[in-house]
Amino acid sequence: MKNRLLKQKNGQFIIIAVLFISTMIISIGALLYSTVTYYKYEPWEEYNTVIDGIQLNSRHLVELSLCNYSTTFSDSILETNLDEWKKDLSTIYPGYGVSLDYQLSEDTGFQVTENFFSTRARASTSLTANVTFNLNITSLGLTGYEFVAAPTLNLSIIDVPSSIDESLNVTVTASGGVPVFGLTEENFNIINVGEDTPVTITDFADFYNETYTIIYSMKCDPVLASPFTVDVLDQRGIKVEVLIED
Amino acid sequence: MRIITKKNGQMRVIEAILASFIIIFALAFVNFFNVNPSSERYETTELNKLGYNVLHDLDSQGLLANFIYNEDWENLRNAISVTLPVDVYFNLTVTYLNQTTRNQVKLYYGDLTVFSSSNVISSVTYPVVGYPSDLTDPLIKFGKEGNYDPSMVILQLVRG
Repeated sequence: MKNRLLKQKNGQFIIIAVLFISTMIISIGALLYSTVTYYKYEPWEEYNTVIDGIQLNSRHLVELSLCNYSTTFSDSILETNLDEWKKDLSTIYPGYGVSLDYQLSEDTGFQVTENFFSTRARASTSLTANVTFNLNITSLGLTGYEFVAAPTLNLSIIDVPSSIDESLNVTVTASGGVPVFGLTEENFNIINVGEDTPVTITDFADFYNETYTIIYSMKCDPVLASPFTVDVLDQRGIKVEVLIED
Repeated sequence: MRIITKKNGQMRVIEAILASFIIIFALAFVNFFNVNPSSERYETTELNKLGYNVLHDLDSQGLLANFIYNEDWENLRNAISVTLPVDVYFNLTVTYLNQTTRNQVKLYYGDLTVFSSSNVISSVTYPVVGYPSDLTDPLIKFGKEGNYDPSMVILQLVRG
């Protein structure tokens, strides 16, 4: 029997073929193993959220700084806050190797744009902060990830009343001309320049308009006398003022 | 009778058995080194994802900072409770950057003993930078103050 097995010449091909198949199975197994471990142990979702968290909070900080600037006009506030944020990121995400750089669009990062017209209507003021961030996270191999934070608030006067029965109509927009909804009379402050007490808003309404999308309409007491100012404060705490004078 | 006396096919049978052994050996070898995703690790990743999404969503809507800086702890707890699945328990701590606790009341949902007994606890840390507050300067009549006052939200999650 032993001699017969050794002398048998017909079975080699099948054995070699089977050995090849086995080698292939083992190779594919090894390949699948490396693929599974690659996707299994890398918490990509967590990395994304770290990046999203930094991005979102950097934007919030620019909004917060713009809020502060709109009230105090402190030119250095944005730079001070961003420097602190850069420093604190290493405490918040220890071991990640987070490095955040930024570039301000202007000297201070803030820009106020005022438009005046010969008539009393359609004057507007726009307040913007513009910062370009550059994020590096060494532990994730992320370098040069850029994002921009450019919060804006714009107040445009559409109609100015000439009698107590007429309304002051304004529109408020954010970045990209997106209308700001949900404002109430609490968000507006109107002052006849030279008088101590603010003008009382006796009637407040908002309505849809094809051109401006939403218009805020206010009846004022006493009647507005030139010059006067209209302030709006949005939900982010950013304030913008328009001065109307003949 | 011919099948019993036939001698030529025996070698083929032995070859087939040998081939089967080789294939079985190869499969066993692959199976031995193949590590299935550990359920504990998988579960932690899922809970982490859930926690991050909850905090990120609340922050995107401007609610997270609003609740924290206005110290509206009850609404913060409720907002997280309604966003998470019912069988996920949480324990939330809001701290300053120096690790001291900001929330005066305990913020949790579910049985706290589960956190000490469970092997699978997920912990998520999320930053918040501040929120506009009322003016402190009496000379300014209208507006808000936006001060940088960073906090960390630490959300621990476990399945009940």
